[in-house]
Order: sequence, then C-alpha cells, then structure tokens
Amino acid sequence: MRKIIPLLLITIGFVSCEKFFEFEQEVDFSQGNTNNKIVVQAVMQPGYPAYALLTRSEPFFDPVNAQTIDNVFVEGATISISSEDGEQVQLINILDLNIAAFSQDEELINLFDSLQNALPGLYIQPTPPFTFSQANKSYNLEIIKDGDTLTATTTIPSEHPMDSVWFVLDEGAPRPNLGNFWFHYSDPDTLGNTIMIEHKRLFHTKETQWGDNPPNGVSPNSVSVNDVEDPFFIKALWGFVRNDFEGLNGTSFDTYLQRGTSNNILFDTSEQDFEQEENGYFKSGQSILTHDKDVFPDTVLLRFSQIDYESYLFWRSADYQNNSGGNPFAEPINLQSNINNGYGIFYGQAAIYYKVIAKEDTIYTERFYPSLFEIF
Amino acid sequence: MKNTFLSLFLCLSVFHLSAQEKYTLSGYVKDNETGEYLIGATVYVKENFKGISTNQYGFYSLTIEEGNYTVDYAFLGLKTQQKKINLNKDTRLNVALETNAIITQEVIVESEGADKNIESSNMSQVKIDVKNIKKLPAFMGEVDVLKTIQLLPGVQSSGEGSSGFYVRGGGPDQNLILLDEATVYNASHLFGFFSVFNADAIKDINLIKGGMPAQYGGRLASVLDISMKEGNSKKFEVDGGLGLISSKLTLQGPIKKDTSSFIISGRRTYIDVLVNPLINDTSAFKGTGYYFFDLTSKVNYRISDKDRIFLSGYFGRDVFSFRNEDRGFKFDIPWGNATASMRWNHLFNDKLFVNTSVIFSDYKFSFGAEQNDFEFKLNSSITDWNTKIDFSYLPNYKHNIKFGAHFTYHTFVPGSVTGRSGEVVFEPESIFKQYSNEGALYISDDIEVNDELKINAGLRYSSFQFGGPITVLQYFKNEFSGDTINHHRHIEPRLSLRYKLDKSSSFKASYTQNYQYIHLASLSSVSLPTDLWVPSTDIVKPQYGRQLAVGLFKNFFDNKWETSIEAYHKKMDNLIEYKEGALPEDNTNTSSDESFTFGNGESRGLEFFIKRRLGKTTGWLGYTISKTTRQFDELNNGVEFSAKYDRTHDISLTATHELNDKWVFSAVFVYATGNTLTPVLDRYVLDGRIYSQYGDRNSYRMPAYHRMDISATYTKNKPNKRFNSSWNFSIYNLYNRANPYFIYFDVEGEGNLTDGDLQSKALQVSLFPVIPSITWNFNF
Repeated sequence: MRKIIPLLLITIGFVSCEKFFEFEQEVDFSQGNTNNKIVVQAVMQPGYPAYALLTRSEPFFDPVNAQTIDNVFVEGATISISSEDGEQVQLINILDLNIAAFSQDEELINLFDSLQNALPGLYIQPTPPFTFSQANKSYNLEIIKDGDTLTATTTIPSEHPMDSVWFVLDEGAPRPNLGNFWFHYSDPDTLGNTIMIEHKRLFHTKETQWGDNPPNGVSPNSVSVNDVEDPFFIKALWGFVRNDFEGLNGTSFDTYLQRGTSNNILFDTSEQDFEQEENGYFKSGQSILTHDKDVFPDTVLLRFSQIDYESYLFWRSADYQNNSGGNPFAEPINLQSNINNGYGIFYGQAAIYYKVIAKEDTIYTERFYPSLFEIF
Repeated sequence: MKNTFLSLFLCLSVFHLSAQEKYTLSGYVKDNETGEYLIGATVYVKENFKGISTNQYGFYSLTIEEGNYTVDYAFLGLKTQQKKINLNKDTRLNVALETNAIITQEVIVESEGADKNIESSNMSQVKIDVKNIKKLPAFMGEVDVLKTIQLLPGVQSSGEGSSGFYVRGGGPDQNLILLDEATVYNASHLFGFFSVFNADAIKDINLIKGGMPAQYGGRLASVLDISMKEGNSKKFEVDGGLGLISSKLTLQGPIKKDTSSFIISGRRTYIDVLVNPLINDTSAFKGTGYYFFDLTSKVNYRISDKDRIFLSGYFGRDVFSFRNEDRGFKFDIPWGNATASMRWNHLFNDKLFVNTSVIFSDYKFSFGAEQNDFEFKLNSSITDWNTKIDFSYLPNYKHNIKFGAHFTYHTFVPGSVTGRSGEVVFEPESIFKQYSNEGALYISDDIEVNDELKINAGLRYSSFQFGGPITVLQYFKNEFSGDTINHHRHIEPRLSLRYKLDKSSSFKASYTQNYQYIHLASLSSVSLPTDLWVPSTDIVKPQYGRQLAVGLFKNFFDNKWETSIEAYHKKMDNLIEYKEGALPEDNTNTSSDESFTFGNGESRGLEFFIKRRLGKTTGWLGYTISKTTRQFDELNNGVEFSAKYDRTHDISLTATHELNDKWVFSAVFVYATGNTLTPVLDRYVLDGRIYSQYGDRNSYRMPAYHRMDISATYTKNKPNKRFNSSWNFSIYNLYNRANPYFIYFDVEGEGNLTDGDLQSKALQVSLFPVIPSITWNFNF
C-alpha cells in the first residue's frame, strides 16, 4: 500500500500535466527593423494599357482589419515606363483619370468607377492606342514617391499559342460534372521559354447545398443556385508558371489546368468560392443537387502567356509561399522580386486568350480578343 | 676492402650482441563473470612504465626485451590483476578480471584509465563505460547513450526534437555512427531522446570529436563507435526493466560455455497507449502519439585461440504523429534502421591481428505533413553493403601500426515525393534510385618517440564513384587504372601528438583532413528527419573538412580530478543546402542535384571540462563557447549567416552522490543558447494575396534551452541471491520549462480580411513538460 500511494500521486500528476504545461504559447517576435516598402505589381501586355498597382508593406505583427486594407494603397506616385527605343509613357493614378474625357463606352466608365473605389493604388496608361507594349522589347519602370525611387526592367517575349484546348470530365472528381481544361502545347526549341496560365470564369452556375444551420434567409438543407462570375483573372493551381528546362524544350505535350482559388483579400469572394468540393475544377453543367434551376457549363476566359525568366522566378517563389504558407517545416523564402528598392514584380506578358466552355464536345484552337475590361 | 668488410662484420656482431632479444606478451583480457572481452583494458608493465590498451576485440600485444616483469591488468570497475612474468619467449597470457566487490570509487562516466587522458596520443576522444552511466537521471528511467554524450563539451543536441547530435559545429550528417561496424544513419528514436542503442546490449562507446584516426573516414565531424556485448558466455542471464512509458528485456547466455554466446535485447514504448486516453477528445492535440520498438542481437563463436566469428544485428522502427486540429495541421513520421554485421577475427601471430567484416545497413524514413488543404509526403531510404579488412600490427611497444581497406556499395532513394493541394494529387511514376561505391585504404602508426612525445601519424586514401553497380574487384581495378568517370579520390592526412609536460599533465595537438561523400540535404528550418541522404556526383562535390585542435590536460590529486581545455578551429567546404525556393517535387524521378547550392562553413570553439572521478560524490562540468557560420553565394544574398545549430554557450553539469550501498542520487543540468530561426519582418498584398517578407537567414534566436533532471536509484542487492532488482525514480524537466521546439506563425481573430479583425501571432511549440517516471530493473 505504501508503495502504491506515491505511484498514484505520480500518475495523477502526469495526467494533469497537460493543464500545467504550455505545449503551445504565444511568444513575442516583434522585430524592430521592418522595412515599410512599396509593393509593385506592374504589367505590360501588347495591345492593352500598361498598369501598376502600388501598395505598401506593413510589419507582420500589426493587426489586420478593414482600415489596413484602406490604408494599404499608395497614391500620388509618379510612374513612367520607357522602352529600349527611347519612347516613354506615364501611368496615371486611377483617381486622377477622367475616363469620360476619351471614351463614352458605358461599360468602360462603370469599370473605371468601380476600380477607383476598389483600387485607389492603381495606375494605368491612359490613352489609346495601346501599341507601346510590344513583343521582343525591353522596358524600364521608374516609380518616384516621397523621395524614394524604385526601378525595374522586364522583357515582353514573343507570343506562342497553345495548339488546342479541350475539356475533360474527371472521373476522380468529387462530383461527376467536374473536370479540367487540357491543352496541347508545342514548346519552341529555344531554351528558356516560360508559360503562365490564368483563367477567369465569365459565367458559372453556383450550387450550394446547405446543412442544418444555413445563413439568415436560407432554408435548412436547401440548395441555392446563383449565376456568378470571377471578377478578375486567377492563377492556376499548382504550377501556374512552367519553364522548359528539364527536358521539355522543343517538345510537344499535353497538360491540364487546375482551377485556382478565387480568394482575394481585396474583394469579398465568398460568393464565388464557397463550394470546397469544386476547388480545382470547372463545372460542366448537369445538375447534381436537387433543385429545379438550369445549370449551365462554365464559360471561361483562359489567358496563356509567355513571360521572361526573372518573372518566372518571381511567380514560382510566390507559388511556393502560397503552398507552404504557415508550414513551419518549409524553409522560408522571399519572393524573388525584380524591383530595386521595393517588393513585387514588373513583368511583360505576351498573352493569348481563349474563350472556352466546359463541355467535352469541342476542341478550341482559335484565339479570342478580349475587350479592355475583360483583361483584368 | 678486406678491412672494411671485417669492421662492418664486427660492428654488426657487436650490434647483434648488445641488442637484447625481444619477446611478445599477448592475449585477451575479459570479464571473469560474464566472459565479455574488455575493450580498452590497460596492460601496464611496471618495470619500464610501459602500458598499452586492449583493442576492439579485447586483444593486446606488447613486445619488450627479455626479462622479469610485473604486469598489471586493469579495467575500471573490475579488480586489477597483477601477474609476475618471466618473459623469455613469446608468451600468450589471457586474463579474466574479477568484479570489484567493493563498490567504492566508481566513477560516473568511464573516461580513460587513471591517467589515460594524459598519456594517450589521441585527443578529443571520450570513452564511456555503459555500466557506469546507469546512475544518471534518465528520461522515463531509460539510460541513453546519446543523451549522455550530449552532456560532454563540444557535443550538442538541437533540443527536444533533434534527430541528431552536433559535434563542434558539424551537422548531424557529419557524424559517423557505427554499431559493431555497421553505419547507423539515424541514431535516434523519439527525436534524439532515446537513441537506437539499447544500453543493456552495449559494451563500449567511443566518441572521437577531433584528431580522427586514419581507420575512420567518410564523415567530417566525429565518430561514435559503439560495440555490442557478446553475451555472457558463462551463464544464462536475464535483465529487464519495466517503466511507466517503456519496457525492455535482455536475454543472454552461453550457447557453448566459454566458446559461444548470444545476446538478444528488445525495447518498446507504450506511451501512445497510455497517453491517448488522457488527452481530452476535444483537445486540439487528440491523435498525437508516438511509439517505437527495437531489437538488438548478437551471436559469437570462438573457433580457436586464433579465430572468432561474430554475427550482430539491429532492427528498429518509430512512428510519430502530431495533430493540431484547431490549426488544421498534422504530420506523421515513420522511420527506422536495420543493420547486420558478420565479423571474423584472426590472429596470424602474436603481433598481427586482423578483422574482416561484411556489413549490411539500411535506413528508411517517411514524412507526411498536412495543413488544411495542403498535403505533402516524402519517402527516403539509404542501403549499404560494406566489406572491411583491418590489420593491427604491434612490432614493439613503440609502434602500433594499423592498416586496412574498406569498400561500401550505397543505394539511395533520395526522395520519392507525393503531394496534394485541395483535390489535386501529385505522384511519381517510379522510384528514382542512385548507386555509388565508396572505398578507402589507410595506414597509421602510434609512435612513442620518447617518454614525453608520442605521435599518431596516419594517411587515408579515400575514393567515391557515383553510378553503379560494380563488384568490389571491378571497383579496385578501375581505381588503380583510373578507368571510371565521375570519380572522386582524395588523400587524407591525420596527425596527432601528445607532449607530456609532467606526470599529471600534457599538451596535445591534432590535425585532421577528411572528405565526406554522402550528404544530408536539409529542407526544413526545423530539425526533423525530413532530410535526404544524397551521394556526391559531378555537381554535388564531396564535403571537405580540416580541423586543428590543441589542448591542455591536467589531473589533480592523484587523478581524482581531471581537467582539460581544448580549442578547435574547423573549416568545411562544399557544404550542401537546398536552393531558396527549391521544391521537393522538382526532384521526383530525377536527381536532386539541380536543387542544391554549395558553400562553406567555419566553426571555432573553446571547451572547458572539469571532472571529479573518485569519491562518494562525482560528476563533471563542461562548458563550450563556440561560433558556427555558413556562407553560400546563393543564400542570404551571399552574406555569411549563423548555422542552424550554432550555439554560443553550452553548459552541462552532472553530479552523482552515493549515499550508501542502497541509494544513489544524481542530477543533471543543461543550458544552451537557443536555436536560430529566420525571422519574418513584413507582410504585403500582391495579386490579391498576402505574402511575407523574411529577414536575414537564421538571424533570430529562439529562447534558450535549459532543463534540470534528477533521479534516485534504490538497489536491493542481496549477496548470494540470484534475483536482484533496483528502482529508479526520475524527474525529467524538474521545473517544467516549456523549452522551444519550433515557432510558427498563424493568424487569429474573427471575420475575414476585408471585414474582420485579425492578428498574426508567433506561436512556440514545446514538447516535454515535467515528466516523472519510475522504472523497475531486474536481473537474474
């Protein structure tokens, strides 16, 4: 008996260990010297206006709320892009742009109004024709704000189309009406080509199966059906940039596009991206859930671009951070920016668009020419 | 001409007459109670103050002038035997030492013999007698080899969660760990908390931190050479231990008395079984669990006085699972080693001893991690077939010549990766394998120049060929004809010397140059077994190291106190790291080489050591101050950065007090500067997502690691009773410190980023709270 009591006490002590020990605790990690730099996302595309979105970095441990988003944009910067031929354009802050002065197109006016509200840090090449951005040319970016100067250089490669695009239902998908777009591509036999794949659903029938506790106004265990669209282009999932090293140079191959997530912190995308089961897929019509509405196949605008090697390194590092973000076992790496004295990327994309529908009966080979407001 | 010839003849005759006849005294020294051959037993000739040690197999050979001698045979913990010898011919004398019935003056850790630390030309070497480490506080009552050597200066673990130990700033892959000559690639269970070495089956542990002798090679930092017991060749014996968390059982005994014996020893933890019910179902950590088992065994047969064969093996497996459901985060790690060695000792004559070995070694691990919608699994393995022949030639007491040849055939599966993000799965079509052949020739001599100066000079010729398979004979044929392509060949000089300042103090220095042909590429910033073993190729060059060490050794009060100060400086080239942004799926079905970047490293340190060897209270204090850096052109913008495991200060204090013949108390305190980490500085929005900007690599220090353990052992030893037992009560982490294991970042708060209030936090994970344990050990 005498021996049992100490044993018992020790066991009890051990049992209650979890309460007396912090397996996980918050620690002070504040770093005194954060950088507060300007973040640039500047894009040039032949046939379309060059634009740049400027934001500011913040200390990692500062709180994030609606004010953060409001304060994050950088206005009042002076931005110019010059070509290797000596031509130059200025990018004008969207708040200073009076679109009605050079276009009466109502859709365009509405677009710019909404951009002014949502993205006050957007700067855009104001006046058509948009022939400044050309393939096989190099460009220099200069940004001046509050005495700081940021510079960057990029090259717009020549465009190279996909041979064909088609849709295939995926038998392994969670629902039978889901699939991917496949494409056949012939890589030019010059080494160093990089492709970037993006997509934007112009039309999507969203079906939501609610459980026992739906939001206000929705009946339990019902199905909601809404027609939605993606407000902007989204990068494909898992390797939206690929280069032709490692044996792909000069070869023809088939590969497929995985639909990226619409999550965007600058916009409320809950409407588009609620259906977790459909992540990674496009929908090909056919109603699976019980309701009486029509379900149409997705209409998708694909953007297939050539970008230069520095841009590839940047987007690849961004892809890596996205996929390993928060994982403590991943070696942290910074995005490989080409902006001097700033973060972000200045890149040119030789883009070719395809307007495709998620149905198995069609092979697409013709390119599509989107309007200005479709390219964002 | 005739006169010259006559003079020469007379000179030679005189020389011959004046040179006395020399004879060899040789034999084996063993433990009389168990029949175990004793490694490092001292054979000391009093008349000419000459002493040598028995080799790995308990063999000694001493060639001295004809005469009458008094020879002491000694091994700590056993009764010294004195023999009077009239040496007038080559004499074989096998000695069996009795157990020391009086248990006084036992030391905590068997370092050398009384003044071996002063005498030996080897420096930076530590020998540990397993018998005497059992009184230290032990986690869950389990004595551990790796934990004990981590208490010595110059040796560190990276904290709880380490899968290796670090010696003088070297990486965990830079330690050559041998179990009966078989390479053990990951010597840890439970993240370095238990080693794979079951102390009940181990006879001898030798750690070489610097001044590496020529018979060892292939790793830059250290050699941990561990020998298994042969098994009691006199009587059948059972040893066991039942603990709260783990248990073990060892069976040993003669197959044929005094000729052949066996030992088999097994362990298993059942912490998963015990702890799981105690974690609330609602706890975020439900599902976290761990277990391991291992089996160590050996059989030996003495064919004759000249020949013995040994067959030893090890098999072990670990599985660890961690869950944090709140954060949608979990990982699983199963891993383990398997080894088998077959060895044949042969005595050509009293001076020439040879051992031939054929060895198999295999290490497999798998790592899977999942966080929310992202999942990643990595499988890796390395398999070796190895053959060795090692000669030991002792022409006289002034020379101890070793020479031999080694050959290893490696098969690597460096990384077979599968991944999933959302519903998208990535899997390789077939497993990518790499083959290589590694060989070495060496020769060394331990030379006693005079009473003060002893030099150990050695030369090792090592080579590595990537791509195979080829046979041993083909390998050596190609080697000498220079036929093969993609071949690395290097000369490795080894030198150490001892200069005796007086009877109780000496100065030592050593220089080691060595190459390492297989490498551990580390993908993570946290020490987990997620690392991959890869071979040297055209792109991945062999790692190259040079170490210079000097030291002063002094004993006080008749060797009651041992002290030493050692300083070292190491340079390493062709170190390997993953490139920034390298992704594991880049390497599926192909070589990892393009993902690596190469650089160099440097490590400097000063080690202080003071030990009380004798008396009721014994122990030691070790302190190391050091700096370990790396420089890679492609990492951290080419700027030098601290190595992951750079520890500025490292302190270990142990104390053991024998109250009486029943109770022994002990305590251990360790302190180490915290691990490095790459800090996060900024965040920013780009393309609708939030990205992080990190600071300089490894520029942040986690909080320091420190811990105290205590234990009490109560032994019921009834003389003349077959059955003996003892109780060990231990408390690990006495003051319940939450030592940092890793730090990660997460976002907490309500709502989303456009409509909410969120806060990023740094969260530190700790593994082990205060853990009391009781173990009951028995023996019959």
